[in-house]
Order: sequence, then C-alpha cells, then structure tokens
Amino acid sequence: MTKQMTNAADAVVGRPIDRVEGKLKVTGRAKYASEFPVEGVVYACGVNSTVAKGEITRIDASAAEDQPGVLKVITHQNAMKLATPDKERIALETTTIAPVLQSKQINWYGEWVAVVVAETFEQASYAARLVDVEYAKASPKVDFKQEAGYVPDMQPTYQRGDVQAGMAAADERVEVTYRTPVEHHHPMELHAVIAEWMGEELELHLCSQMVNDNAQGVADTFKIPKKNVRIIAPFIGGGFGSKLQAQEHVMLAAMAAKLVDRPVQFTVSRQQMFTNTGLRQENLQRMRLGATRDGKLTALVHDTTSHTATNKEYQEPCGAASKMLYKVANNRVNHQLVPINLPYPWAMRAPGEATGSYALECAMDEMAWKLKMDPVEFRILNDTQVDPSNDKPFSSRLLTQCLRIGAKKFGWSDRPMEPRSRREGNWLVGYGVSAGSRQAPLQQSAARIKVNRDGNTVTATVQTDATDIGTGTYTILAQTAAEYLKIPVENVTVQLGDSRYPISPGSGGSWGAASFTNGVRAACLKLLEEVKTAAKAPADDDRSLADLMDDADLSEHSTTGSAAPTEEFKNHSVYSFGANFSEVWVDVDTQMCRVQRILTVGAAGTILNPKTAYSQVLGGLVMGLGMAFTEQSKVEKQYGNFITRSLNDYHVPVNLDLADVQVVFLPEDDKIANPMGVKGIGELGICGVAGSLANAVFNATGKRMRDLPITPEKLLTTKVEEGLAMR
Amino acid sequence: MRPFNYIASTSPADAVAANAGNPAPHYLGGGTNLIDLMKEDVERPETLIEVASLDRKEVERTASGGLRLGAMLSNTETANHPDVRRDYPLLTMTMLAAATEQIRNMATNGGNLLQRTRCPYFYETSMPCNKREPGSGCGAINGMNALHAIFGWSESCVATNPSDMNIALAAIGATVEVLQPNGNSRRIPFADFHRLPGDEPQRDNNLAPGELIVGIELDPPKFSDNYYYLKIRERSSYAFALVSVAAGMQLEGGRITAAGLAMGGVSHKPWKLTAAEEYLVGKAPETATFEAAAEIAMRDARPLEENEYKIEMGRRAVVRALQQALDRTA
Repeated sequence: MTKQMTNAADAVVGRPIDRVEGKLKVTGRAKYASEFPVEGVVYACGVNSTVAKGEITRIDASAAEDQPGVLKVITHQNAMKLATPDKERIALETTTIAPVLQSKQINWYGEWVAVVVAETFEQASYAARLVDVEYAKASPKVDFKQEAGYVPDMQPTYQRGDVQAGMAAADERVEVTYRTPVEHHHPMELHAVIAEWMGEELELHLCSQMVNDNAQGVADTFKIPKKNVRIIAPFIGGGFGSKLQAQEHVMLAAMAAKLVDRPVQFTVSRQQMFTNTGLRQENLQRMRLGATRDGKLTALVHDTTSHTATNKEYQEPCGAASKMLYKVANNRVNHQLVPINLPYPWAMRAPGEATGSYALECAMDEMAWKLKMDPVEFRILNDTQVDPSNDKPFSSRLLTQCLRIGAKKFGWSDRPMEPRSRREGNWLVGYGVSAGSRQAPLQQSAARIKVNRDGNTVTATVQTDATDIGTGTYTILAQTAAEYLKIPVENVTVQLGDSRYPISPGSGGSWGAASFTNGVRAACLKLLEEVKTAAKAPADDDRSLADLMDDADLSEHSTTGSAAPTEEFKNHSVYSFGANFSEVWVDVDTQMCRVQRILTVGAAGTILNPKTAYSQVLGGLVMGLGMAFTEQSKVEKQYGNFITRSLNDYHVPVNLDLADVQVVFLPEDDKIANPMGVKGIGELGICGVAGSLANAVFNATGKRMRDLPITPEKLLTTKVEEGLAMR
Repeated sequence: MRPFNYIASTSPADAVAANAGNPAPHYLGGGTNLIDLMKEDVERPETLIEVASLDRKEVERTASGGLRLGAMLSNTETANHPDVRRDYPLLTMTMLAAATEQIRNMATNGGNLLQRTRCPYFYETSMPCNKREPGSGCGAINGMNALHAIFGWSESCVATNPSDMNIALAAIGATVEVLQPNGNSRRIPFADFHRLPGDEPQRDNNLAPGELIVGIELDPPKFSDNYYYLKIRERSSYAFALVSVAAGMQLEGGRITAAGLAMGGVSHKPWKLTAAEEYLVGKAPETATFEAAAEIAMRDARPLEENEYKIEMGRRAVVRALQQALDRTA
C-alpha cells in the first residue's frame, strides 16, 4: 500500500502555495457576478437623484419608455411594495433590509429614484438619461461639524476610572483633534447582480461578501422565505466592507426581474459607487491624553463626532482601540452622530480601528515627543497583557515583541528624535511608528466534506457558503482539508459562495479565515471519525484515509461539520497585534511625499499561507497609505454631491507612491483563539498605518498633520510645531 | 451614452468635408477625453468623425530646424521619438508625466491640445457650468475651487486647462497647423491657440467650427541641455497638476541667453510666464535670479477662496524647476 503524506514535515497549512484558483483568474475563466450567461437576460440602469434633499414632485418617464428595447421604467410610483423599516436602524451585526423606491422623499444626492430596464445595456443606459425627474428642493445639510450630535444606541459612552482626575494628575497633556475625510471602498469589481425569478424562487448571481446574511436580507426585504433566495457568488473582486450586505441595487434588480418577468443584470457604475454602495464617514476625533513625566498614561479620552444618513444609521467605532490597547486607568470613549444629507456610511476595512488608530497613534506620538521619550519605548511602557476594558486576559498579545523586533529590523535606532534634522538632497527624511490592533473574532462556520476513493487515491470536495473576496479563501481551505485528511492539496477541490452550501459567517470583520478553517477542520475530523467507525478502527489509528476507506469498503463518504467559539475564547480578549514602521521623504519645495519604506510586524496566530497573507497585509498597507496621503471624497458644500466622482479624482495610491514593503509575521501559537490558532489579518494590515506615516511626516518636517489626507497643499500651509527650529 | 453617428474618414480633407455645415462638429482622436465626456453626458455629439487612424503620424524636420509633429501621432510615440528625445527632452519629460501609460498610448497630439477642463462643475451635469451650458452660471467661483485658476479667470469661468503637453509647448514655442473646412490650411501660433474664458468660456481655443488640427510645428530647439518639468500633484502618477512648471534655459558664458517658462494648473490656457522669461535673459543662472523670476511670475495671481496656496506653490515650483534645469548639466 502506498502511503499518502502523513508526517508533520509535510504540513500543508502554513506553506506559501500559489492560489489554487489563480489560473482561473488570470485566464479570465473565473466568473464574476455580471459575467454569468443567463438566458434571456435584460439590463437595468439606475437613475440617481440630482438634489440632496427634497421631494420628487413629478416623474416623466415617457421619453424613456418610448425608446426601442425599453421594457419598463420603475419609480416610486410603480415599484413593488417592500418591507418597511420598523424603526430599524442599521447596526453592523444584524441583517438589514434595503427597501428602495418606496417614497418620493430624497435623503441624499444620488439616491436611486428610478431604474430603467431594456433589452441591451446601451438601450437601458441611454433611456436612463431620458427619465425626467422634478423635485421640490430643500436646503440640504451636508456639513456635520456645526451640529450637535446624539449618542447612538449601538455605541454607548464607555468610561472607566475618573478621566478628570487622570488628566489633573498628568505632568504632560495632549489635547488635539484629528480629522479624517469621507473615503470610498472602491473594490475593483463594480457592484453587480443578475436576478432571476423561477416561480417563487429568486436566484441571484451577486458579488457578496456574506452569502447567508444577504439571502436573509433579500428575503426580509421582499417578505419571502429565506429558503426561496439562492445566492451564487463564487468569485468576488474585492469588497472592503461594501459588499457585506445586500444593498438597494440588489433589491432593484430583483424587483425589476419580477416586474418584467425576465432575468435582469444590474451593474452599479463607478460613479454610482460614490453614492449608492456606502462610504467611510468623515470623523472628528478629539483626543486627550495625560501622562506622568516617566511615561505612564494617566488618562485617555477619545471623543468622536461623525455623520450618518438621515434615514439610516451607521457608526464607525473610532474609539474601539482606545479602550483596550494601552494600560490606562482613566478612560472615556464617546461617539456622537449627526444625521446629514449624505449617502449612508457603511463598514469600510477596519471600521473605526483604521481611523481611530490614526488618531490614537498620532496622539501617542505627540505625547512621546512632549515627554522626549522614544515612541517605541513609550508604547512598550504602557503595554498590558490584560484588556483594561473588560479585565479579561488577552489570548495572546505580542505587541511588545512586534515593536522591538520591528525596531531592530527597521533600523529605528538611526532615527534622530528631533524632527527636521535629516535631509537627503531636496528631501526631508522622517521615521514613524505606530501600534496596530484588530479584534480577531470567530463565528460559527460549517462545511461539507465529500471524499472519493479510487484505489489508493482520495480526492475531497469542500463546500461552504464562505466567500473568497480576493483574500485566498479557496487556497487556505484546500490547505486545511489537505492537512486534516492527510491528502495532497492538489486532491482537494473547494467550492464556495453558494447559499445551498453549509452556512458560514461570510467574509467580513476579519473573522473569515479563522471561522472557515475551523469549520473545515471540524468537518474533516468528523469525517475521519465516521470512516474509522465504519472501518471498526481505533480512534488513534493513523493510517491513511485511503487505507481506512478501503477497510470500511467505502468508495465515497460525506459529512458536514461545524465549529463555534469556545467558552475559553469567550473568557479572553482575542486580538491580532502589529507594529508599523515607516520612512517618509518630504520634498522641501514641492511638499510631495514619498514613502520610502514600510515595515510591518504582525502577530496574528497561525499564518495559514504566508503568500496570501502577505498579499492581504500589503493591500492593507497600501490602503493605509491611501488614507494617509491620497484618498478623500470631497463634498460640494451647496449641492451635497461628491465632486470626486471617478478614480481619476479619487486618488488611490499608485506604485510610485510606495517603494519598499516588508511584512514580518511573528510565530504565535494561540489555541485559546481557536483550534487552528488563526487570528484575522485582513484588517490588521491597515490599522495604525496612517498614524505611522503621519508620525514619520512629523519626524521629517516638524509638522503635525491632523487632517487627512496629507496633501502638498496642506503641508505647504501647515506650520512647523512651536519650539522647533526651522531648518 | 446617447446614440451617435460614426464616420471613419480616409483623409484629413475627407474628414473636414464630412463635417462641413455641422454646427457642432466632433472629431474623434484617441477618445481618452471625448468618450469619457460622452459617457458623462457632458458631450452629446450627433456625429463623430474618426481621425485617429489617418495617416498623419509622422515626425518631420521643418525648414527652420524645428520638428513637425503629426496630429494623430500618439503621445507615447511622440514622447519617445528619437528626434524629440534628442532635441526636445523637455517635451518628452512633460508628456511622460501625463496621465498613465495606457492613456498616453491612445491619446493623440491633436487631441491633447483639445483636452477639456477637469473642473467638477463641468463634469456634473446637474450643477451649473458656463462652459458646458453657457448662461447657467459658474458653480466653482464660489464653490469648491481649490484646484482652479489663479490667473486669467473671469466671473464666468475659473476652470483650468488640464494638459501637461500644452505647458511644454508654451515654454518651447510652437505653431498649430489646421485644416479648414474649405480645404485651406491655417497656422495658429501656439500662444494664440488657447483662450482665456472671458464671457465665452464654452470656447477653449480659437479653432473655428470644423477645423481639424493636422500638425504641431515646434520652434527650433533651444532647451535640449537645460530643461525640467516639475509637476506637483496629489499622487505620484495619474493625477492632474496642482501646479506645474515647464522650464528651459539656454546658457552661454555663465548667462541665460534664452528662457522658456510656462505654468500649468493655474489658468484656462497654458500660462506662459513671458515677463519672467524676459527677466531671466541676460542674467546669471543662480538662485537669486530664479527667485526674482518667480516673484515676477506670480505677481498678477488672483486667488479664489480655496486656492491661495497655489501662489506660494507656484513660486516655489518656478525656482525649483529652474534650479533642476540648471543642475541637469552642472
């Protein structure tokens, strides 16, 4: 009998294997939502409001309806009646409905007011231009900064100790406000859906991060049973949070398909992705830190004011990390929201922690500078192994190691503490550091494993409704199944993103890899156990699966298993940690910035595949770089629309913006987190990055950049901090 | 996109003839700007006359020792042409700072001269814009104008010309060769090609309806040794200039004998810094000279509410571009 691989040296988990679906993608054979050939498909094109507040007074769709090929123009006047928000306000953890075209009310510029369905895309998009909508226009409120906010239910004010006393006891205080702008997700794949009704059943080809949740959201919106909604989402071209929920355009497509009785394809345009698929809200973060002369934090206050839509609520928890990252007895975290006439904010990569870490890590840098203390040492001095927000121990926390090892690898000791003291030709050179943290959640996740034996060869198929949004899910699940079934990874086929498969939590919140792999692991172990029982073999029998199946006279077997968080998990605070070091050059004349290098050290449990993990963290770093230097959506003050309306104006970083990137993962074995020891990295990669870069800009220029992004214009008009020599 | 007629012309004469009598003629070059504007519903041509495939792609030596660039030659081919690289490296450097590789491969020289502004009020059809819809008002003058003009604007329009290539042409000096609908050709000095907005911002340039650009003649080369194009922008590539400066100097015996200086991102037309050029001639190429030239360059700037920064940025850009131009042979 041939032995299939069994020993640990052949471990598949942890190997940097190529993406198993890579060839499908680079050869164009991987099908994305809009690409499925559905017979009889027709095309929808959305019409957007051109006022930010008011009411529709008249819609004349006749010119559009008269166009050749046009099947229907749907407006609030003839739309299907959908579920009504039952005082429902959006909270991230809950499934939401997305009713659309239900009233004449306009809440923001670009809100859907009609959808045109036609035989071809060209006919639909032309006819969409001909829909004539008149409005009774009201004066929109688009700047939240002058308004009083309210504290949202989902984010009550958090407090421990006595922050007033803590501030009073401090030798040094930092009291500053940071601003971050509206950002947009802009995954490369446009939001797209093909909707087809088959009797009572609705089939959706949908770019969706969370298949099960989206099926529920669609079902609730149309008030139909969830079992009648099938979602197919094998490949997703990025999401960054914008594809977490089934948004309004999904309902538009399904409604249109019902009303014209044809399958309908609806692709949201890049311009519409500024107004109809969510955004990261603008935040004002007031930070107050107190510390003793020897560098111990005495108080930390993080007050965030932000905006939400007038008809939907979403809160980015900017203060999340400020509760738990540092040892400080006196702490207050408060969030206020102001409803204004902008599109609804929505979770964007590390919501709260990405933006909050910018404010926190810059404020820490400001304090370290006041104390004339090395910012790496200052952070280490305030490290904690117990989560001060809930007194639970961290399941593992290697933040100090991340900082120390990063400092060594980066050459941090070369950094002069005095800003503006290093120059290379026309460039001012600065180093910056930040800590990063991201909760590593785990959710119940199931998978079906089917094995087939042909002689001594066993092949396996893994099915789960989990999604691969470009992160590497296919690959890490193939590796997990190969590892636990002890078969070659080439013998594993992974099938994802179909609501008919066992339920996973989907991709979001950095819980994907941990949840999915533990579910697959559990299913594999259950399958082995079942085969051993059939073979009447002892539980510790370590023969190959082929041998066991042979003994049991099985040519195939399948089972479903699932994993969920343990009590031990719940009794700990489970986070990934990291440290970001960066070197930024600022041109002394033009004020343009170049990021010369970034080194990030992460401690995130088991790294399932260093190659896909690197790619994900790299993506996070680039997005953090975008946050620091280039990305912003600018709101027109009178009209309330975004004047950045294409990827021409909304600047994501380009290759030239970033030179050298190094990602180091520290070995970390955290079985408290979960049996696979996996903690999320998808969002860790962006956390703290903007802070590290802004701190490097300070070290280079002596300028505190408290308003992102850091543009040449802002650097030119920002003064060097008081007391610094202008060299 | 709205439906339109498409005519593939076989010669420039054929193209202008096809447009005769068309009140709003549109030639299609590389389409990198026009097609975008059609998708945005800003341009609504009834007929597109395709000219990019016409055989006007040569680079030829002119009698005066300059180069004549075919209008339909792509920006990439132009920038990398060996004669251009040798004699007009300022043009090469400038063109390669524009847009992206993919866009430069498609964009034609004639089309580059005709790029329309990137003012967001021009692009968004629900907002007022005198350039897009004469008489509707200027949204930018009291709106979001951080990226707008500081020179030569009018109450009716504060938009800027977005082209990089135009800035180098303004510094180098050129003549635009145009074919008229009647078949005759006409030559327009580059400095007179683009217009200030005045009360007709819908007109970016002085082409008459139906005229087709067939070539661009560059003045004899003067700046092949000392030149620089400095483009200040919000990311390192694929971003329009906040401020840019094309600088060329001819040096002899420790003196500047000729200077070409133009600024982008600041006006409705490529902003030739004539007074600063004149100041530079005869002076020693040194920092104090450059700083004085920069003061002269920015003297007449009239900032809007959000773009005062461009004055200091422009001043610095002039000094730095001249310094870099000097350092090239130092």
